[in-house]
Amino acid sequence: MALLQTIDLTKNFFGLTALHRVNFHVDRGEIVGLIGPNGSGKTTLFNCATGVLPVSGGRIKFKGEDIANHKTHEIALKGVSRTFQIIRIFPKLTVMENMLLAIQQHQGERILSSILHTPRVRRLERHARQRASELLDFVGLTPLTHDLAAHLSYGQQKLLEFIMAIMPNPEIVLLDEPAAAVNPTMIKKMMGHIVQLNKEGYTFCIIEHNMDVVMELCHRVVVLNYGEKIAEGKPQEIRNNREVIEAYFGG
Amino acid sequence: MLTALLLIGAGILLAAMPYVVTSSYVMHILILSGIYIIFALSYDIVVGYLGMLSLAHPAFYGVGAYTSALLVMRLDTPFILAFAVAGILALIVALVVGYPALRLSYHSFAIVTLAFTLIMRVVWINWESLTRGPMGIPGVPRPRLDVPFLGQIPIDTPARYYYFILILATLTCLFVYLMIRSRVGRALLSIRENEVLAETLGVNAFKYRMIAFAMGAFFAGLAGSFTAHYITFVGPEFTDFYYITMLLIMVILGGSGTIHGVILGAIVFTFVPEYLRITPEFRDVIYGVILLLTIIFMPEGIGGKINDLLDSRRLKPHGFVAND
Repeated sequence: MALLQTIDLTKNFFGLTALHRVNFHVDRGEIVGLIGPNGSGKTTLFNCATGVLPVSGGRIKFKGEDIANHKTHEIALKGVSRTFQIIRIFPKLTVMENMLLAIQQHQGERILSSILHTPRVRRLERHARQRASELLDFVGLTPLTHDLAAHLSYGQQKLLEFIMAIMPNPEIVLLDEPAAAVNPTMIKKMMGHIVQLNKEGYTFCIIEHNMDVVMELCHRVVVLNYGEKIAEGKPQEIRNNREVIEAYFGG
Repeated sequence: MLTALLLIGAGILLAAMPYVVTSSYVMHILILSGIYIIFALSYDIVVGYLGMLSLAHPAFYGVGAYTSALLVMRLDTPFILAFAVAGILALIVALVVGYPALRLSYHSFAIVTLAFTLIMRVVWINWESLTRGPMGIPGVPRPRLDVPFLGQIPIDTPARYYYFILILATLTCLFVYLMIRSRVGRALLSIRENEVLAETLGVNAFKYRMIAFAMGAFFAGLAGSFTAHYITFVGPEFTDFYYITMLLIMVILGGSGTIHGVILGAIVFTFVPEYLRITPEFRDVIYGVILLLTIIFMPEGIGGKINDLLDSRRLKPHGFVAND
């Protein structure tokens, strides 16, 4: 059974079809690349899968359960993490506070005991800080732990957003252009982290325009064009697919 | 250490106030300040921390005032019970109003809460069998507290009222402080800063909005109840739109999203109008100008300025003004 699967997923924006009967799946342990020209519906697919946008038709299954049109926070708590094309972090909070926010809801909501700061909540908080420190160490952001997120460089913010998605120990991580607009060194770093985490058992689905990244990283690639899936296969097959070359590489 | 000393110093000063201040008029304004501290802090939970412009606060104030006055007068309920029920009923009303209203956009929410305030005022005026209409209910009894071992303590002198409100205001501050520092505060902040991201991280934005809105209403209800038993009167004036301008000035000039700022704002704007004796016609104009100037030149308020001076790295508070 696929971990995440869309069945005839369709999304219309007032008559414009952003996704048309897309069948797509990610198996546990995979790194799947999602590529296609601008406006081909990649991010829309992420937005539908995370409940940010309601779907117009079809189903989205996560671990066999239909999650289409579920609320964003519910899907997040089921184990679907994501990043955004345009970085979304909390710039006015410190790096550590950003990290803590990424996990606290996954540890359960205890409104009153949170306010009263009971020993149980203190223990959860310690655990969260511990995990945050480990991840910050993993990507080399430890020296910036108590800086405001706004003060980080673009690449560092991307890394922060990335480990925030990893923080709650998700079942699948949807990355929207993790290598966009960062320098080659940072791209290499990011790729290394993804490979490393994949070895540890994390599943990734990645939207990416940088073909070198896609070819090197992904086990399988799915190509969208005008909201329809036009190809799917191993990176090498995709590279040689005529239809893909025409749609994507400009023929 | 310094903070602890400052707090102890402030505590002693506040406790000694009735012995220092001889004028009963000044005592009266101090008590009013206490009420406004609770009222403004509870408003700041919604406006500052949640970042939603609610105009329903005077309605909750009125609900609290009428509830406890009627319970004590009609049903002979002990004051402390009526006081608690006043807060809880305001909280329940907030949940009922918030359930549809908090799903709306920022601007629609403001309009719906405004409508609610206006409706509640009409209810107080027209439900004559219960509220005696525009005449209001005079002779609301002064509070009597049943304290274990000490027996019944009537709250009947300015000094006693002062200590009572001092304790209430302190507890309110403490609660807000604990809430802001807790995971609840962090979740609220995340919703205010970036709702889509907050949801993506698993924060149920709607639920937290309900919690914040209801908590704000709870303390507004308590403030209303205390006021009714202090001025021994309750009437439709409790749910007056005037309170909105007052609260906005206190919260925004004081610094929305800061506790010390809002306390300062509440005290200053209880004293200033009393001492300047501004006529109501001019008052609204002057308040409007002050609000406008604050939003343009000092959107973070006095509290925010103080924070900036103390710690340039700390997150800057910003209320609904810059949030839109």
